[in-house]
Amino acid sequence: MTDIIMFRDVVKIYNGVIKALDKASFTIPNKAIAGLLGPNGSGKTTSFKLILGLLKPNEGSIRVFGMDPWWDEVDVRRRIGYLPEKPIYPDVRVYEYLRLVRRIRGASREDVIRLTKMFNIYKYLYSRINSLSRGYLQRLGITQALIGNPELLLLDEPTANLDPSSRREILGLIKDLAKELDITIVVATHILPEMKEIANYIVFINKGRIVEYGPIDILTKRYRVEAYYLIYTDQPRRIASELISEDYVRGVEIVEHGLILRIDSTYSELLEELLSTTYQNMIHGYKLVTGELGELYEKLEKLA
Amino acid sequence: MIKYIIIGLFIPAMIVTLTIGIALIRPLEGVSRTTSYGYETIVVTVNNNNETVVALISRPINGYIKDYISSEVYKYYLTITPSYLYSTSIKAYIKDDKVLIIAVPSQPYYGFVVLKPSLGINFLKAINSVKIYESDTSSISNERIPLSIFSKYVDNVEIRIVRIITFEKYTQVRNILPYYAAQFSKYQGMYLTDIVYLAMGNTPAAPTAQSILQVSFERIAMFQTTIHYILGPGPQVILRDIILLSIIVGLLIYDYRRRPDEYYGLRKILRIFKKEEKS
Amino acid sequence: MSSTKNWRSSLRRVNLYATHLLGTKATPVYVMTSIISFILAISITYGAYFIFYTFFAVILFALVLVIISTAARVIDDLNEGIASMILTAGLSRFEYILSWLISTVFYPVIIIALAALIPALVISPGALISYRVGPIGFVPPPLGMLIMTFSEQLYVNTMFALSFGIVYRRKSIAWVIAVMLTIIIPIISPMIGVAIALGMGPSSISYRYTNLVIYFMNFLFNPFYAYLSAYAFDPKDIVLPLLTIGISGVFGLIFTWALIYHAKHSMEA
Repeated sequence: MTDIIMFRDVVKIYNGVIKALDKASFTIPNKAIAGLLGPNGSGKTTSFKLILGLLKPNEGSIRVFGMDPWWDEVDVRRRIGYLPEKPIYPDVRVYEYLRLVRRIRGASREDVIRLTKMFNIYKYLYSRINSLSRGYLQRLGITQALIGNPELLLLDEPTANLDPSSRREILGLIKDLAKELDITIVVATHILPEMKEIANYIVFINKGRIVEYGPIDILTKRYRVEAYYLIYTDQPRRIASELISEDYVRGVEIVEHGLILRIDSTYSELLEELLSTTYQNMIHGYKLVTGELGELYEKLEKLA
Repeated sequence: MIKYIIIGLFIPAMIVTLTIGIALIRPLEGVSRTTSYGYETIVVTVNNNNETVVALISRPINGYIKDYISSEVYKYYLTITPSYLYSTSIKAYIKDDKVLIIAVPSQPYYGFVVLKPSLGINFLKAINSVKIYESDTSSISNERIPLSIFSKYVDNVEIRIVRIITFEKYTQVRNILPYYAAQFSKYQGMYLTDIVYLAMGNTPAAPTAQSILQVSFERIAMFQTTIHYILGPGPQVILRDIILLSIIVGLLIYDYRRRPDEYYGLRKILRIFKKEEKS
Repeated sequence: MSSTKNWRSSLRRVNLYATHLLGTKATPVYVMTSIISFILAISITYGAYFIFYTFFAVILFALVLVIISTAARVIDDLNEGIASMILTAGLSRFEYILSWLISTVFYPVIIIALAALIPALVISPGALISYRVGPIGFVPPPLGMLIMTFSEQLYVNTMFALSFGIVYRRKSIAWVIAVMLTIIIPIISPMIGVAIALGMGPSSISYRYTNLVIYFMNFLFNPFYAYLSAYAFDPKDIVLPLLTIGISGVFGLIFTWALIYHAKHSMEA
C-alpha cells in the first residue's frame, strides 16, 4: 500500500498571523477510506486546500500522487474529486456547470449523464444552481466531484447543515461509493458516528496539529479503547456464556447468525488467538468491526 | 471562443457588405463641403480684336481640396458655381465667358491690374498654357470635376480658379455698367475699350476710369465651390469583401463541425432547410 | 513533445473557460462590444468616423465601465470560493486568470479594433495611414493611429486597474484606478495645462504648451489622449506618437506579465 497523500512538517499561516497548520505530518495510503477528524477550525479544510494546491504551504512539503500539488496543480487536481464544505457555484444552469467541468476534465457526455441519473439530479439539469435545495446542491457537488473518474475523492463535511433525511441519503451515497468505487476517499468531519461505519483509516487533527494518524484497528488497540468483534457462529449462547467470565470482555450481545463481543482493545490479539484455536470449530469466522470512535476521539482530544 | 470571434467579425463584415451591396445598386451621393472663394487678382486688358478681356483669379484652393483623396469606394468631385450676373443687359454683350482651373507655381499680379495689350496677351497665353481644366461658365456649375485630376499638383503648385470674360468689341460703358456709369455721366457713351485705355494712361482721368472698372468687376469675382462625394465600390473592394466573408464563413464551418451544440440557432435554421428539402 | 502537448491542452482549457465566461458572466462585455463595434463599423464604412472621434471619451468610458464591472467579478469569485470550484475542476491558476482576461479584456479590445480595421481595409485602406480622409472637411488623425492608441488605452487602463484589484483582492481598488485613469487624469490634465500656460505670463498663453502638458500627463496610461494632444501639437510629428504607443504598450505588457506571474506563483484560492 503506497501513500497517496503525504504531509511533512507542513506549516500554513494565514495573513501572517493565523496558524492553521503547525508542523503537520501524516500520510494517507492508497485505496483507504480515511476520516480527517477534528473539531471545527482545526485545519481540516486548510489541509484539503493544500492537497488540492489551492493554498501554498509556508513550510514543509506535500506530495499528492508523488507530485507537489502547488506546482503540478493541474496534474494533481485532475485526479481529485472535491466536494467543498460550502460549495459556491457560479450562477448558471446545472447542465452549463457540469458541461464546463466535463470539458475541462475531458470526460465523456455519457459518463456525466450516468452520474446525474445515479445521483438523481437529471431532472434538474435545466434549473439554475441557485434554485436547488441544500440536499440537491450536495448531490450536484458529489456529481461534479466524480466527473472524470477521480482517483482520490475529498469530501469536506459532506453532511454539514443538512436535515436528517438528506443526511442519511448523502451518507448512504458515500457508503455506496466507498463500496463501488475502488478509489481513495478522504472525508473531513467532526461528526464521528458517520465515520464509524465507513472509515478504515483516520487522521486526527486538532488546533492545526496532527495528533495521530493510522488505520483505525491499530489505533483502537494502541489507545485501549473498546473494540467490537462480530463472531459468526451457530452456538452463540455457549460461546457467550464462556467468554463473559473473562475480565477483558465488557459486553456480549447475541444477534442473528452470531454474537457481538465488546472487549478492551488491548486484548484483541489474545481474543483473536483464542478464536482461531479454542473456538476454531465452533465458529464460521470473525471480524473486527471497528473501535469505539467516540472514545478514541476523547482520548486523542485529551492528548492534544 | 471562435463562436464569439465570428460574431465579433460578423458585425462589421455585414455592415460593409450591405453598404457595398446598396452602393452597387444605387451609388450614394452627398455634399461634403461648400465654400466661397473671393478674388485675389483681377486683370483687365484689351486683346488683338480690340475687345475687353477680364480675368478673375481666385485664391489658391489647394488647402480646400487636399483633404479629399478618392479611395476605391469614395469618389470626390468639385463643382464650381461662378457669380451669377443678375443684370440681363450685360449678358448680351459678353462674347465669351469661360472658367479655367490653372496650376501655377505663382502668378505675377495681385489685386486690380489693368494691363497694356502686349502684356495682357502674353498673360492670357500663359494662363491658357497652365490650365488643367476648362469649361463654359454657363455649364460649369453642372459639371463634376474629379478631384483626382488635381492630385499631382496639389502638393507642389498653386491651384486657382480663373474666369475669363471677353466683351463684344462695341460694348459701351452704359451697356454693362448702368448704375456706376450714371455717376460718371460723361463716360456713359464711351466704349469699354476706351475706358480700359484711359485707365492705362498717365492722365488725370485714369484713376476715375480705373475705379469704374474695379467696382464693376469686383462684383462678379466670386466663386462658390462644392465638394461632392459618391460612394461606389470598385471591383477590388468587392474582391476584398468576398475574401473577408469567406474567412468568416470558413471559420464558422470549421467551428460548427467541431462543436455543433454551440450553435443552437444555426442548427435550427439548418434543420428547417433540411425539412424543406425532404418535403 | 510533451511540453507542446501540455501547452495545447492548457490552451484548450483556457478556451473552454473563456467561452463559458462569455456565455455567462462576461455577457455584458460581449453585448457592449457588439454595440460599440456596430457603431464603429457604420461610422467608418460611411467615412464618418468623426462620430467615433467626437464621442471617443464616452465610448471609452462606457467600455471601461462595463469591462471593469464584469472583470472585477473575478475578485468576488476568488474571495467567495467560486474560483476554487472552477480550479478544482482541473484548471491551473494561470489558466483561470488568463481565461478571465481573454473574455473580459482581450476580447473587447481585439473585436473593437477589428470592427474599425475591417471596414477601413475593405472600403478605403488609405484611411489607415492617410492624414487627409473623410467626406467632412476636417483633418482627423490617421485612422490606424486612432484605433491603435484607442485599443491600447482600453487595454492599459483595464489591465492596470485589474492587476491591482486582483493582487489586493479588492474590487474598490480596481474601480478607483479605472476611474482615475479614464476620467480624472484626462479631465485635470487640460486644467493643469492651461494653469501652467497662464502661469508663464500673458504672452505665453499657448495652446501648444497646454497640449504638451496634456501629453506628458497622459502618455503613460492614456495613449489615446496623449496621441490626440501630440497630434494637436504637431500633426506631422511621429516621434511623440511612437513614444506614446511604445511606452504604454510596454506598460500594458508589464502589468499583464505581473498579473500572470502573481497568478502562477502566489495567488491562493
